[in-house]
Amino acid sequence: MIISLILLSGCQRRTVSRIDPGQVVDLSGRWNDTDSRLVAEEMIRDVLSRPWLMRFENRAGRVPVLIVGDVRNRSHEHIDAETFIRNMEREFVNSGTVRLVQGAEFREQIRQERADQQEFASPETVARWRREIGADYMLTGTMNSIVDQYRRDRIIYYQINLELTDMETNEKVWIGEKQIKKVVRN
Amino acid sequence: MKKSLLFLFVVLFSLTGCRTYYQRQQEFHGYFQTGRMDDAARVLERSKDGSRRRNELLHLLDKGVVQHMLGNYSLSNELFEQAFVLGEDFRRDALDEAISLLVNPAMSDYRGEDFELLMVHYYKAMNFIQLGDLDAALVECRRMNIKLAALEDKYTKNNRYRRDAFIHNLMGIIYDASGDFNNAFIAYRNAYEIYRDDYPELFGVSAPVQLKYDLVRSAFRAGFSDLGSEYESLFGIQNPGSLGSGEGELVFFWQNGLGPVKEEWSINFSVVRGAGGTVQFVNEEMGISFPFISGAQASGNLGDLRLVRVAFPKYAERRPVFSGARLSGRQHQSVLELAQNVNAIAFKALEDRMLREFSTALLRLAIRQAAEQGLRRQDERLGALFGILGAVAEKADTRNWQTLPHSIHYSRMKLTEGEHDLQLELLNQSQQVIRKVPIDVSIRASRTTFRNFHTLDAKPVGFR
Repeated sequence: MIISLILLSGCQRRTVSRIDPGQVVDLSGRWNDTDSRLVAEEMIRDVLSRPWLMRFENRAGRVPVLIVGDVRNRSHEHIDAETFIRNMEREFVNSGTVRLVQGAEFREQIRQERADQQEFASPETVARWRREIGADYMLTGTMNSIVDQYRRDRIIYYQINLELTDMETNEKVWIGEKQIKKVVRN
Repeated sequence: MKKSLLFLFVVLFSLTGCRTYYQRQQEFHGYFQTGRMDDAARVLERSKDGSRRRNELLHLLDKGVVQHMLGNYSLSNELFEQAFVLGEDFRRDALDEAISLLVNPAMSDYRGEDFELLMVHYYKAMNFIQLGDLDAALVECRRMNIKLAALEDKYTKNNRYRRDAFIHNLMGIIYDASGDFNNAFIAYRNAYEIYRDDYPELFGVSAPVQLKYDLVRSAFRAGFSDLGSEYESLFGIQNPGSLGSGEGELVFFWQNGLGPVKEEWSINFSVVRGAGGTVQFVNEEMGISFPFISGAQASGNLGDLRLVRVAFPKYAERRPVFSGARLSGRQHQSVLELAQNVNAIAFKALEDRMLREFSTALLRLAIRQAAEQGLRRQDERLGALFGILGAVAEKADTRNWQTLPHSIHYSRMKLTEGEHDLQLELLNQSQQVIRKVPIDVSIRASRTTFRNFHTLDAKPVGFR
């Protein structure tokens, strides 16, 4: 009987297996890596296929320079906006149709390094001042969520809004929106 | 085979004393409650109970608290980190479960209550902050977040402890101090919603006024002025605004008294045999009747039972001596607001689990009775001995983390840069100051300074 008891309680061994980061795995229903990647890819595909891009190129005769600003999190979860922003930046750069400059936080770091170079680096390798590229447009956004729960069912709805604003005129040249809706049943 | 089996039983049963875990730790608690932390640490080092694998988690938690109180923050965090890993990697061990069912649950590895495992991060965060490592404290915040999400997913019913407002609030306070107002806002808002929806009914705690101010301020700082205004009018308060020049902030946590300890109580059941291999455990006094369907091999054996005793754990409150406190200095005075009632959460957590405790206790009983009958058929004396040992060993698991505070109060204070001699004024029930504790803090401009202070004064168990 003791043996049957032991068999009943079973052996729970911990297993760890590696999987492809691209594989979709939904566990809790909360915001996860797949959401971040899918939203970034779709949004960037959308923004790059809209008329503002061609208009700019016709007017200026070059590709526009973008900066990714804040993506504010208004949802109920602590979402790492960082990975989402990085995903978007990668999509932008890899598309080849726009150029991207560093956001505010890293700009400061780079400037410090450049200031440091003025003093310590050999003259022929010193990065020069006042050669930073100014951005033509800034991408900003918000993340929102609504959670509705009844008994064992829960619906989690995420809405990500992104806007592209002209740095000179404050004109919004593109507005993107992507929703994700998940049903979680316990 | 029979001999060795008998030997095994005798060894296992003889391991269990009849005192509760708290009573066995008397010496340690004597020192701890009187603030003699060096002695308390020494007792822990040579504790026999603590050296057992099944008590390892509790031992680490107690040691972590003692080192924290001694100001050895790095060492304290090493201990809490070990406790964290132990809690994370806990797996049910089949043999462990079997022993717990055959003998008693105090023989199994202690796995920690949800609220206890969350409190590990409170202490860890406090330690890291005292060490000046805010980044590491933020790591603790992320771990809290993961644990809170797991807790919420573990249970589906709302009227139980499944969301912890204090921990959300703590996350908010730490994010806030690090300048991450967006995450601070999210944490404060989650905390507020839980204080509003769960805490008054479950634990008699309502949302601290300080939290409301923090929520409004962080909303504006995160750039959500629409939400900020909304909360301003909902609470009827004004955005307290950012710090002035040369101003810093103090966040003060007051840990009041001591959390509950566990005791044992038992019920006697008479066992009534029903039709088709079912038996009923009946206690007519309390009107409890549990049907128990015994397996094929056990049927017929359970029938001729008499009166049996089943032991259950219960919490016993150690009421704090102080019922409130103020923090006063030359510039300000602020009332410390209740943010977490650890005592009430402990009681609630056990209450939520009582049905499961009941059924495992009854399962334990049934299995032991069946085993006894099985042995009796082979050897009458061996069976009888097993029965006696079983009755003696019937015992509840009275282990819990007993160095936690009864409750946690907090306050946020704006102070000018420099040294401040503050007074922690401890109040009795009629709001009179019965003791003053000097608190010296050094405030840096536009920084948040954290302090926590634990008053250990508590009335003995069962003392009203």
